Amino acid sequence: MKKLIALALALAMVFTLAACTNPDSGDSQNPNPSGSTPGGTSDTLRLALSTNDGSTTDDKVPTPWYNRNMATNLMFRSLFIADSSLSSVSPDLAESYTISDDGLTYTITLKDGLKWSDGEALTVDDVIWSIETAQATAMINAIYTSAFAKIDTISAEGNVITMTLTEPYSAMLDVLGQFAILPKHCLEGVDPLNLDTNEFWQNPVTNGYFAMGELNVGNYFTLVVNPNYEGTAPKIQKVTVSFVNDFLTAAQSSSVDYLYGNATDLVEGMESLTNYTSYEVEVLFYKYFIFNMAGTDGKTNEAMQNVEVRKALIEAIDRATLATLYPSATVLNSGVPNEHEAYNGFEYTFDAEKAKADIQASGYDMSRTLRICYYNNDQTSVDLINTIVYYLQQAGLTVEATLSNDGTTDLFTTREYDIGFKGKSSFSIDEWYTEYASDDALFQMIFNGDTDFDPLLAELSSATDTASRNAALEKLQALEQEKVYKVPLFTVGNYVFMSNNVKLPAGTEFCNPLYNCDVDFANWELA
Amino acid sequence: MLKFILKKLLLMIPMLIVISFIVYFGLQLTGIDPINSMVSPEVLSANADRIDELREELGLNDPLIVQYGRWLGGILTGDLGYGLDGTPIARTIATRLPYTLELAGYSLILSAIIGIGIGIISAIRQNGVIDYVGRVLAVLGQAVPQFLVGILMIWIFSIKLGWFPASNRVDPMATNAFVDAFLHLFLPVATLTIGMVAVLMRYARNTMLDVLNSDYIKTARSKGIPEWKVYLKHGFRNAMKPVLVILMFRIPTLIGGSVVIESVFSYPGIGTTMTNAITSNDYPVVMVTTLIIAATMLVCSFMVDVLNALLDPRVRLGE
Repeated sequence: MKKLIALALALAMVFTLAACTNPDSGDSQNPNPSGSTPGGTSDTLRLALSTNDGSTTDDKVPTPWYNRNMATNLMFRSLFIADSSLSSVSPDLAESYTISDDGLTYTITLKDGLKWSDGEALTVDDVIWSIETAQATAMINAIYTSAFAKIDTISAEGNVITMTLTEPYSAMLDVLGQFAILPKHCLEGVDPLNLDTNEFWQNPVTNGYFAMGELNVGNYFTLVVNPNYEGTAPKIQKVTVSFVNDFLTAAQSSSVDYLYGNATDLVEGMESLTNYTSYEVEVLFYKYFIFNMAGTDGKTNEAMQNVEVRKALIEAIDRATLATLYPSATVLNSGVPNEHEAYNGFEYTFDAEKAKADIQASGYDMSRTLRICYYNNDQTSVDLINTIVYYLQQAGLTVEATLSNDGTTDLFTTREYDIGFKGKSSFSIDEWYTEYASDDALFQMIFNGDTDFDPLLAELSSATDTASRNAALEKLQALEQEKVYKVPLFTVGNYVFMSNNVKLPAGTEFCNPLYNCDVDFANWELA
Repeated sequence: MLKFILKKLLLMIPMLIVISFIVYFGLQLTGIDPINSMVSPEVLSANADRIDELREELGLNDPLIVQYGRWLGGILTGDLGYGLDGTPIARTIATRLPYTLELAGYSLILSAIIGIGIGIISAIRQNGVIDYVGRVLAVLGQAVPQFLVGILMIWIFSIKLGWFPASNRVDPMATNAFVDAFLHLFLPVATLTIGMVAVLMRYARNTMLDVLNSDYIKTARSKGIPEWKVYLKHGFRNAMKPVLVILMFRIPTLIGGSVVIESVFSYPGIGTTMTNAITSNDYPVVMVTTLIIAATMLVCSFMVDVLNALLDPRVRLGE
């Protein structure tokens, strides 16, 4: 018996030791602050890519046209580079540029002597090929296809590219500031629809600070300094990018120097790690409802046709309370943030009793089941949906919420729902409103290809000064609040977490981590 | 015996076909359109003609039974097809399967040594300290889900103590491949081993106890044969026959169980590949990996049958 007790005590001590061990301060700082696993060195910046959402696979480098992140930002440059607002750019691969007064002709001069990491010259042919190919590529961020659809002609003479547009597009430079130029000599024979799955991405030729080192499928890839980079070489000489399932675990085990995210569990978990510094980044990450109205295929959802029903449903939901589920959420009433000068001041109010009366007065069939469809399976989203279901049940409705495994298909093709819950990490306010375009590939299937927004969208995209842009935004807000096709709940702020191993230059500002901006990487140092 | 083996082998063929049929049509019933995963929505509408061509090229417009026949024909000729990300599935399997076999192999060997060892000692020293502790741990090992054990392992040994990495199989900064392999394999192997040890320990103990209470053991003792010889030569050898069958049956469980453990540890084996394929609706990969796991189970089941028949002639005579 004594032996048993001794064994039990020994086990208890092991667990206690594990729970309390901290070689430094006794708080929750990780015991491996150097971050180096055995054999590691401290001259390497360690990045991680999460593979748990299906958008990144662990057998190749993500394609920057679809998936911008710190790793691809270090590998691929654009004609321009944005500041942290993403709405102001300066030349990067470009030497200079001019825009005609009517906003229809862009003349961009490329820098001399640019080279790819394999030593080939980077020329205007690469730029033109990239822009033309992007429009037919299978997986690409919508900001590029929207902008490049406005291009009428593109040609080059010497180092000068001339691009004419069919109509002014005010965000064109900002979009070009994100658009990575890819090597034509490596990819020109590839079917654009298969470009993102091409073997090129296992050993890509780059034009940024870093060239590809080694890819170890399922584990990591490494980056080494690009010997042909024409700018100031970075002080950090090597980067490793590990494929992980969970950012938080990677941070808790001190195996990553830079990560980002806005999930509640991640933000709360990172707050307890003293060897990381967090940087809150204002981003337009919309969380919003969409109503399934009718599609251009003729399939109509009769229950949601009455705008009074849609308004009453929103009135039944306390969006301010829902926002508290997220670490940094700001309630919205349109696509324009409340603090923006163009915000029109309208507010969706929460009034449970009035909502109940309004739903009954609208003639809505109270015996039918209201169907909610959502696709985010993280716990915060599940909690949010459960709370929404509760609010709607309080209004006397029977509600059924379905978690979709294929959001795009279920929300825009199958369409067996009344209210959809979506998220959108938006490049700009404009991107929110382009979803109302009558020819939007997805939203025409639930907003019936309504053309009412089209002239206002054209007005917004061609606005070249703040006053005319704000005027267009105010009209768009009024129309969206009248139609109630989609209703924003809130925007969710994002966070960048940086290990204390990294010394950032003074004044470094981070942007939306899903885009690229100038973070003065050349002057980053490792402690 | 040869007739028995041939019969069992032939029976596997219709079973594999039925499994492949269920896997293929089951996944088709989910209604997932692979084009949605291959092409972004904006491109879908802007390149409708090209998308139709792509659909035709991929054979997605053919009747389901034709698609199934083509897929099965491909599998039989060694062409496993392509994942939705364009990677040949054969290449994916060739890269990932060794990782899983490595994980399952080490777990199998370790669990066999530890489980059988403790089980035998528990039986010999029945109601002793090792027996009590072993029984408690066996119950715990079976009762606690493996993913929970994995998470606890990470929390204790990776996050709190910092002894082992929490994810992946290879460290990009590793300088010693052996040390790196040990560090990365330790936690997932230990997690898989704990669950397996529990089963083997209980089974080995009970079987050994049965054997030790049998008449021939009493006879051996009465002949004055040394006790260690009684345990090893007469007890252990006879007790191990059914334990080996159980061990064989655990192989598919190990490979199936690694789906969860690999995800917990971001271990780049077949399990993680399957989980990621499910997340990204990459059903060609899901189909092939499911089929591989099912085939492994069938092969193990076949080997168990053969082993049983070898150990006990009544089995093959009964057939």
